[in-house]
Amino acid sequence: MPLDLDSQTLGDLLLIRGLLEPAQLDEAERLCEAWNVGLLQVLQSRRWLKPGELYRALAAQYDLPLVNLVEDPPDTELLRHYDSATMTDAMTIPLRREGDEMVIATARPGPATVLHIFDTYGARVRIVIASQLDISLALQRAFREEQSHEAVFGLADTDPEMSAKSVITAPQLLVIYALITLFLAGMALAPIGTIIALNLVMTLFYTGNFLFKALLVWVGGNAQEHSSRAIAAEAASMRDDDLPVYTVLVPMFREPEVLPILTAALRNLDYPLARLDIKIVLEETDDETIAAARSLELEGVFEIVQVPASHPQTKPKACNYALQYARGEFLVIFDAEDKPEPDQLKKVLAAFRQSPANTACIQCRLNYYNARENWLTRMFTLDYSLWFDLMLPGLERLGVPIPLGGTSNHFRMDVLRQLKAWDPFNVTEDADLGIRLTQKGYRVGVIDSTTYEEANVSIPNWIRQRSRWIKGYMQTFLVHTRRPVHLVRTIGPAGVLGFVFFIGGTFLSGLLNPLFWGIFALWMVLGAEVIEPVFPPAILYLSLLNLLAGNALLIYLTMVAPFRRRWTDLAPWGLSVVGYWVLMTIASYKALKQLISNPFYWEKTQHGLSKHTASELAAAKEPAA
Amino acid sequence: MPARILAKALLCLLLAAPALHAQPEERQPAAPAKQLIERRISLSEIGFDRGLEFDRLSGRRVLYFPLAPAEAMGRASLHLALRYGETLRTARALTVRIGDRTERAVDLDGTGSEEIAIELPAEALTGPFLKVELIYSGANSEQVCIDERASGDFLRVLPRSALVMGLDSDGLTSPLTVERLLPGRVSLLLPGEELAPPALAFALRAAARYDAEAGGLALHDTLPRRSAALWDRGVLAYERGSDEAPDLRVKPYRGLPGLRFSGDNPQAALSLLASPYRDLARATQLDAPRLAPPAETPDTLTFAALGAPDLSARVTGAATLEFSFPIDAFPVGRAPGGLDLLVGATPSPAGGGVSVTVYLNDTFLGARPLPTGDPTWMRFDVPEGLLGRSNALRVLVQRPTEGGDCRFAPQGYPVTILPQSRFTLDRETGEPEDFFALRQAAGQGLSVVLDGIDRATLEGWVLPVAGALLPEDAPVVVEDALSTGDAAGDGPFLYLSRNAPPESDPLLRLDQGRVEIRDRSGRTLFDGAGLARLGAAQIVEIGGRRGVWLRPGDGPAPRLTRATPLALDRGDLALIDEAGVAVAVSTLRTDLVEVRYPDRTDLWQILARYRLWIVAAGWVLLTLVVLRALQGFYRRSRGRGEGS
Repeated sequence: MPLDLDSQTLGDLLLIRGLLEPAQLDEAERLCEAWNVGLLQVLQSRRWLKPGELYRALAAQYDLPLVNLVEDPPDTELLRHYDSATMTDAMTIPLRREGDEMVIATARPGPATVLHIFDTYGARVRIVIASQLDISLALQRAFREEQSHEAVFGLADTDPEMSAKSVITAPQLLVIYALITLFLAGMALAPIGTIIALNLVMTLFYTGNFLFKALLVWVGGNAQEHSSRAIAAEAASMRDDDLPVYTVLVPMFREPEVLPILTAALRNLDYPLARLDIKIVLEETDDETIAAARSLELEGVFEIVQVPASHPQTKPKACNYALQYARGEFLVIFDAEDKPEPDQLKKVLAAFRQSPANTACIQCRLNYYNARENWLTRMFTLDYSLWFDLMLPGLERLGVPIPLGGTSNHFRMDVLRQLKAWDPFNVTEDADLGIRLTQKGYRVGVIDSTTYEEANVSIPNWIRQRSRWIKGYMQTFLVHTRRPVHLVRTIGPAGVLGFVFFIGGTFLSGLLNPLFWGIFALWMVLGAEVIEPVFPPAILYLSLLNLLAGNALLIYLTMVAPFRRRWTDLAPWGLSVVGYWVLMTIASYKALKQLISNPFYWEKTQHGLSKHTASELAAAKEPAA
Repeated sequence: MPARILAKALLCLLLAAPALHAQPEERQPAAPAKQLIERRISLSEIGFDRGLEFDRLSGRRVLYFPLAPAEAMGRASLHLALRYGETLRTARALTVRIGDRTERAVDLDGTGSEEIAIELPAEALTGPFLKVELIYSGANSEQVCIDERASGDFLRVLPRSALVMGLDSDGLTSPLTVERLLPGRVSLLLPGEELAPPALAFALRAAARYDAEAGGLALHDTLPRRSAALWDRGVLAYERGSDEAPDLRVKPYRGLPGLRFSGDNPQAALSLLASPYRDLARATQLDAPRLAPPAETPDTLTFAALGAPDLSARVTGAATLEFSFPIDAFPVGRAPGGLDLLVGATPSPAGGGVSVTVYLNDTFLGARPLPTGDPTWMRFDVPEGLLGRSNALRVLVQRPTEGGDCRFAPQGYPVTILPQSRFTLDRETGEPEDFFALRQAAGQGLSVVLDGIDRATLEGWVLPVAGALLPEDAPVVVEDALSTGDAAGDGPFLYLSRNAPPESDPLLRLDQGRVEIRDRSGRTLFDGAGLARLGAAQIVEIGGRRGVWLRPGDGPAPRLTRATPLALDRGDLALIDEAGVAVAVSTLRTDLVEVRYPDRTDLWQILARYRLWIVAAGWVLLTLVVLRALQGFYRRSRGRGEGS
C-alpha cells in the first residue's frame, strides 16, 4: 500500500534536507507498509534522526512553529481543565490563551489531529508543533498531584478491602488474638496436649504443602504441550499491520547500567517497534538513571516517565503512575535487565485470542541467562524452573489463582485500568494482582515463552530480594483473607486451598522450617525419648513421612525441574536445595520483621552484579548489523 | 489305728523280751554320749517358701534334702505338718517314700491338720541328699461318679515341715559338706573395725550367695552367744592369717560348724563354692584355684545349662510345667530373642495330640499343636523387655480328656520338655537401664567403691543391695576410687557414698539444696527430712561406665526377710525404707515421678512452676497490644469519617 500524503511529504522533505538517506527512506517506507503506520511513527522507532531534527522537519512540513516546552512551558491551569488521558492519546495539549485564541501544541500534526483540536478546543486556535517528549513531560508536570494521588490511592480509595494499605484489619486482628488466646489457654491448662495439637496442625500443613506441589507438577506436566503448539502457530501467522499498540513498562530505580540490555531486547522483538508504547519509568529523584537513560539517545518510542516522589516509594506505584500515560491495548512489564524471547508479544496475543473471553492476563515464564555462574544462580534457576515450567501450568489447569511473577505479565489494558492496576502498598504487587484478577472473575493464562533475566549472584542481595517477595506474600495473604467467605465464593474451595498452600505455604514453611529442623536435630542427638511427649505415634509417623517422603519429593522435583529445558547438568545441584531452603528461612524471618516494622519498605535488589550481565551489556551496546 | 498301736506295742515287747530275760552281766562303764547338734532343714530352706499343695486327688512331688556324711550323721526324722480338706467324701492318702521306698502312708480323712514324724532308716541316710517323694492320691466313692475337678479336695504340706538331723560336728570336716548343710541365715564374722578390701569383697560375695537381700546375712565381730545344740545359723568367718594364698576349712564357732576363709583373696573360695567345680571343696582343706571366665559367649542357653528341673508330667486334661531362672543365668551382654522348645508328648491311642501354650513371666508367647509323638521343636519369639530379675517359664500342656466314663480314671499320657530346649541369645542388651540388667551386666565382675563406710552401714545397706545386684559367681573388686578410661573397661560398679560420685550426674541428690519427689499429678511423695531418711539406689554413669550409686539413708536400714526381700528389679531409681523398696521407677521410660530442686534456678523448673503466671502475663501483654492496635484502627476510621 503506498504511503499516505503526509508521510510522503515528510519523507521527501527529510530526503531533501539530507536528514535521511534514500536507503533509509526506502526502509522506512517498507516498514510503513508492513506495519501500517505513518512515516512519523516509523522514524520515531529508529535512530536515524535526532528527535529535534525530526520535529523541525515536521514543523517545516506543516509550516508551523516549533516550540520548546521546557523553555516555554504551558499554562498549567489551562492544561488541567482538560482530560489528561485524551491529551495523552492525541499527544496534543493547550499551551496558553492569547487573546481569544488558544495555542495548541501537537506532536502529531495531520488532519485527524486538526479535527480533534477543533472538537476539543474550538475553532479559534493556533497550532504549534512540539516534540512528543516535551508534551509528555508537560502533562506529567501539570497533573503530577492528581496522578500521583491516583497512583498511590487509586485502589485504596475505590476498593479498600483489596488494598494492603492497611496491613491488617480489625477483624483479622481479633481473629489472630482469639487464636493466640486459645493457644495460651491450652498452654495453661494442658500444655502437652496443646503442643501436640499445634504439632498436628503444622505437620498436616507440611503434608498438604508437598502433596499439593506434587499434584501441581503432575497435573501441569502435559497440559501445555498442545496449547503451546497452537499458540506458536498462530503467532507465526500474524501480520504486523494487524497488531495493536502494546505498552511496555520498564520501571527502574538506581540501575542505569543495565537499561541497554532491555532496549536491545525490545528492538529485537518480533513486533513493530512503532506499535510499541515503551515507558521507561523512573523516580524523579533518580537523577543518575534519568541522565543515563537520556544519554542513550533512545528512539522516540522510548518515553521517560518521571514519577513524583511520594510514599510509598515502590515499583507498583511507579507503574500505576506510568499507566496513566499508556496508550496501548495491551501492557507488559519488563525489568531493565530482561531479555524476552523475540516472539513473546505475538505469542501472548495469540494466547489471548485462543483463551476464554475472561482472560485478562498472560504470564510468561522467567528464567536466567547466568544460570551456571555459581551455586546460588543454579539454585535460583532450579527454583524458577520448578515454579514457572512445572507448577504454574498446574495452577492454571486446576483453576487455582496464579500469583504473577515479577515481570513478563501481559495484561489487557481495559481490565487493568478497571481494577486500578497494582497495589502500591504491596511489595509483591504482581502476586496480589494475580489473585485479585481471579477474585474479580478474570482468568490468568500461562504460556510457554521465556524472558531471561539476571539471577542474583550474591547471597545478601538474594536474601534482600527474597525477603521482599515473602513479605509481599504475607501482605497478599492478609489482604485476600480479610473476607474468607467472599474468597471462597469467588475462587472456590479448591482455589482457596491452592491459595493457602501456595501463598501461605511459601512463607509459613520458611518460618516453621527451623522449628522442625531443630526437633530433627534433637532427635538425632538425644534420641526419640526427648521428643516423644509431643510426638505421639501418629504424628511421629506423619512427621517422618514429611521428613523423608516430602523432602525427598521436593528435592526430586527440584532436580527434574530443568529437564524441560534440557538443562540436565543442573539436576545434580538439586541435592543441595536444603541449603537454599535455609536461605529462604532467613529471608522469611527478615520479611516477618519488616512486615511489622516497615511493611511498605521496598527492599531494592541490586542488578548488574553478574559477569554475564556485563557480556550481555556489551553485546547490547554493539551497533545492529 | 488302735490295732496298729497294739501291734507295735506287742512287737516292742517281743523285742525287749530277750533283754528282760538276759542274765545280768557285769556292768561295763558307759561310753560318754556324743553331743549332737540338731539341724532342721525346712521346706522353706530348700526353696518351698509356701510349702507344697496338692489337689484334685492326685499329685507327686520329689524333694531333696542335703545330708551329712555318714560319720557325722546321727538320727534323722522327717517332720511333716499337714493341713487337708475336702468337700465331697473321698478316700485320700499321702504316701511318703524315702529313698524310693515307701515309709509311710497317711490317711487323710475329711478336713483337718496333722503333724507326722517319720524316723528315717539308716540306709536312707547315705549319699549327699535325701530323696523324699510325696504322693497324693485319692479314690472316688464307689457309688458316685466324681469328676476330679469337682472333688474340692486339697492337701497342704506347710513350709515348716522339715528334715531334722542330729549331727556330730566332729564328723563335719569337709567345707563342701558344711556349706551344703549351712542354714539359711548366715552370720558373717569379720573382726576389726577397719575392713580391708579383701574382707569387703568377701562380704559382698557372701551377700550375693547367702541372700542378704532377704535378710539372710548378718555381720558380726564375733558370733553371739547361743545354744550350741541347735544349728540354726551358718557361720562364715574371715581370718586374715599369715599365708596370702586363699584358704578354706571347717572350723567350729561356739560349737557350731563354720567355714573359715583366709588369705588375701577369700572371695576366690566363695567362687569355688558357687562354681561347677565345687566338688573340689570335698577336701578338708584346699587352696582355691583361680577360675577363668569362659572363652566364648554362647549363642544359645539350654534348659540343662539353666539348671531346669525335670519338666515331665502325665497329662490327663491339663498339666503345667514350669521353672524359674534368674537374669544372670544369661551371658553378659546377651538377651534371649527366641525360645526353642523340644517337646515330646505321647499321643492317645485315638491319635489325640496335645496343645502347648507357653507363658514367660505370665506373658503369652504362643501356642502350638503337637499332633505326633515325635519330639518336636517349637519356636517362640521372646519380646524385648519381658525379662526381669527372676523369670518364670510356664508351659501349659492340654489334651482332650479320654477314657474314664465314671468307671475308670481318665488316662493320662506323659509329656516332656527335653533339656535341649533352649533360649537363643540373638539380642544384645545394650547399656543397662534397670537394676536387673545391671545384675546381668555384673556377671563378669563388679567394681565396688565404699566411700565412708562403717560396719553398720555395710550390714544394713550395702550387703542387702549387693545381694540384690550381684550374681553369685561374679567377682568383686573393691577400689578406693572408681577407675575409668580404656584400661578400666566398661563393667558395672556399685558406689556407696553419701554424696554423688564425682563425674556423675544422678537424677536425685541431696547435696544441692532442697529436693522433692513428686508424682505425675504434682503431689509431693517425698521431700526434706523424710527423703533423707530413705536410702536411694540410682543407676548413674561415670566415665562411660554404668553402675549403681547407693546413698544410705539417715533412717533405719531395711529389715528384710524372705517374704519381704529387697527387690531391685525394674527401674533405675529406687528409694529404700525400713520395709524394703518403697518406690522403684524407670526415669528413662516413664514420668511417674519427677525430681525437683526448688532451690535451683533451673529455667525449666521456673517455667513449669510459674507456667500459669507466665501464660497469664503473656495474655495480658497481648491484650494490651491488641487494644492499642484497635485504638489506632478506631482513630483512623474516625479520621476518615470526619474527612469525608
